[in-house]
Amino acid sequence: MKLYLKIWRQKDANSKGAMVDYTLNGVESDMSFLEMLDILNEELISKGEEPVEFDHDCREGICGTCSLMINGRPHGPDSRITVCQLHMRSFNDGDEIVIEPWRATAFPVIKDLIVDRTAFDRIQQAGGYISVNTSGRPVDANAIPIEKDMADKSFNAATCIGCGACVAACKNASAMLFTSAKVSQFALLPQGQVEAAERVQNMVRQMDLEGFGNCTNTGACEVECPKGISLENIARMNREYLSASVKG
Amino acid sequence: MSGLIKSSIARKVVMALSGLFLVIFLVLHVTINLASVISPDFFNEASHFMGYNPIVQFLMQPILIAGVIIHFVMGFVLEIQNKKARSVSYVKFKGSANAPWVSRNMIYSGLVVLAFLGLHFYDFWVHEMAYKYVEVLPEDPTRYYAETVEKFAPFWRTIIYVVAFVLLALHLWHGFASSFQTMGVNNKYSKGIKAFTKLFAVVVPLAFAFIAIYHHLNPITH
Repeated sequence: MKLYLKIWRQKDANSKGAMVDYTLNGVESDMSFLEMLDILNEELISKGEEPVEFDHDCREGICGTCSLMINGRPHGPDSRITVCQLHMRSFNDGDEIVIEPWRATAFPVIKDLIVDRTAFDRIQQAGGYISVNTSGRPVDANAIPIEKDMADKSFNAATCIGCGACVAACKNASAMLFTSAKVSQFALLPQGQVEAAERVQNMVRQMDLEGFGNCTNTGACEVECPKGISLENIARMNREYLSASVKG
Repeated sequence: MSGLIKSSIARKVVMALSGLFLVIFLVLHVTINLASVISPDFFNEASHFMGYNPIVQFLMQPILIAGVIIHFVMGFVLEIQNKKARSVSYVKFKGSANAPWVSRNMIYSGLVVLAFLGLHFYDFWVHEMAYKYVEVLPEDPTRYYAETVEKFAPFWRTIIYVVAFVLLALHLWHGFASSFQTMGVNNKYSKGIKAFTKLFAVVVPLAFAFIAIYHHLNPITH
């Protein structure tokens, strides 16, 4: 198939970027989206041009590295997948495909389609951990009985791969879904209770400091999340935050 | 507690609580207004009570005005922050693919309702203040019905009111249920809250619009 690509090109963080048009022939429908970009880059390199920089790593939907806004949607038109799991069969011959980086002030563009997502790391470092010993001395984590429902909810929250699609999809560039998933995975387990109040306050404070927007409950994040993280987590974080703040 | 005031979640809770407070006020307002269609005498009585009772006038009315101001000022503050959070826009952004129009355009529906409130205050509140405190006219418990009906004589005012009620409906359609999510309520009752929100967002503005159209079509003949 033949594709008309419009791709954001930006030399570095300090340069002004622009959309550049490329026409790509010979794309097969069973190629993944990233393979399609690989072919484009091979063509560009053979012509002596600078290849398009984009983030990718595992290419099996678990690392959260790939991050492209494709035709106005994070990770493209299909649901519950990352860009690396998106295949060209989701497109037609002659399609125009607009490819942009995540847009958020807290995620500045480093080059082309690559953004700096260390804001997420800093939120995680602010409290997304437990410091109780669960190594078997004195109590093995698996020896603590946990209600199935709670364990499932915690696990679902923990499936967040931190890709940033929630921020990219949100009209306010809010990081509430990411932060709430990281708060919830601990808030639902007994091991997470020790630092629960401090955790939610510190992580929300860091999230605000990074310059993410405010949640207006549009639900776009939940729809675009490749792991289907639920808005329930945001409500839980709000509850945890308010009760922690009121208690001081 | 100082961190709480600056936090995004606390600001959203202020938005939610002030919004819910205004929702409760809407119920009171529409109930009294419906009386103007059913029983002009009761409408006059209720309006007179609201206009001259000191608790309503000097306690509830300032609280209501504060509620309105807090809701829209905080709305603007949050909107400005949200715009700053995405300093470079997307070339292509398909918002309709993952979120309903009403939830993405609360600022616009809110702005229309706010502009309407300006006209509404001019029409009724300013008139009342002038009657009571500027012209210092004597109490007349029978004047309200005629004054209200007369207001809806012009076609343009009736249309503006009806359009504003449509935007109010859109604002409530998202805002009512959204305020519960902000306050941390997302559980087995959420489905019910969402269903009630839709019912409320249709019934209350529809009742307001009906009253305006009714008075426009049924002027008092002398």
